[in-house]
Amino acid sequence: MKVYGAVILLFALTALTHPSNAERFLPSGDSSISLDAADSVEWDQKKRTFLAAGKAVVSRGDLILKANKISANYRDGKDKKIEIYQIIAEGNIEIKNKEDRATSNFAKIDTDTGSIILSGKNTSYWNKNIKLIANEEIEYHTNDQRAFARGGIEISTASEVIKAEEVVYDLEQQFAEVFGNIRITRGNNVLLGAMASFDFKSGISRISGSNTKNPSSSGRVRGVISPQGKP
Amino acid sequence: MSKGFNNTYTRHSSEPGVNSAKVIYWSSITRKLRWTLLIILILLTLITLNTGPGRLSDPVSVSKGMIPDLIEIKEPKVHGRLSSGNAFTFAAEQGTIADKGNNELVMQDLDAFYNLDKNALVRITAQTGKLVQSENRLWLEGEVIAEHSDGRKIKTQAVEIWSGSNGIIARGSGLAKIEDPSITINSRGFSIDTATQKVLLKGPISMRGNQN
Repeated sequence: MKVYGAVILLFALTALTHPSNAERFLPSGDSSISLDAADSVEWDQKKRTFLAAGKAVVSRGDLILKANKISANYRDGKDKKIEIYQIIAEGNIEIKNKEDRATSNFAKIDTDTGSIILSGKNTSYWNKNIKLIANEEIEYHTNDQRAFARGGIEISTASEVIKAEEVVYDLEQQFAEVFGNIRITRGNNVLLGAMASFDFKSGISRISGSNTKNPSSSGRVRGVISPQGKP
Repeated sequence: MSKGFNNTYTRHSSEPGVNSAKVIYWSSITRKLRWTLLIILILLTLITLNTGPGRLSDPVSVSKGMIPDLIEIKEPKVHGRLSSGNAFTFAAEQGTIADKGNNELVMQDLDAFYNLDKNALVRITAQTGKLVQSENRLWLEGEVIAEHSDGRKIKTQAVEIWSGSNGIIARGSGLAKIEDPSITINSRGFSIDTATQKVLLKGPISMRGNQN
């Protein structure tokens, strides 16, 4: 399972507000940012907010954020330039760059805490290798390099489908833990458990019938293994 | 009309069958001064817009015995000061004063300057400017361009400016292009309210810029 693929896009989100991170995703020298909106853009200088309504699109290089409504909170930065520290997008959100794409109904990007939260119906992320769907939210914290996905999770790769209730991924350690009603399907083979871990450094994966987050739940790992090839 | 407008005017009669009659009148110095002062007084009233006193740089003369319905002025120039203390200047190729009960001053090829705080300056040019004193409103139409000395510029086709309860409100209709050293905005109209400090751009809107 390559959950880390999901965080590439989440990293890319920060490119909107962190030029230093943008260097990873944008062509060198291209730092132009653009905004389009079908209905209106309101700049409230007292509240220090921008609000773009109606098929709003913010783009910077290859990175594009689309939503029904996009608002931004700002403050005075260096040389009294406007410094945006929070972006909130609502409704039919689509975020994409060259290789990655995500959707949700709500998104919050906070540069102070370094967090990005995608939530609501249709919260998903995909690239050419993986697709991740979460019924509740996908959350990424740049400060500690950790990503979370919660609620009705389904991760699809070319060879596997993994269903669970929660995923925690540590980018630095390249270690992922998956919790709750796990169902791993590979072809005709199915593994059921309560908790699983994936160490991408060592290549060792484990699945357990007990969930450390829910001690009352104990059980066994169950599986259905089908013989390879035709009998 | 003569170039020297100090003592020349065009009168439009309201009498049936007499649409326009050009009358050149040379009055005595005493009468001229008296009517000049009267017209200056009218203009001062027109341009105040709840803003304070202003003055025409050049006087005009009118006919004896009546104030015409309409007065055309060649190259009028108006100086004034906003209630905030900021000075302004209106200059135009041609101006018309019409007393229709609402005191209108219409200016062609308007070129206006507003001195803002900290030595900042705003220049506004428009093909037509209409100041209606009774409504405290200024309409600008046709190639309206407002330039701030810091480099920001707004180009649009029509702008309406009036005094709100706590500040000035400007509303632009039609295509508007707002240029800043770091960003360019295209919209289909805008409104600016100095009291609420809100700027509203009407869509579809496109903003293109450089964050750095």
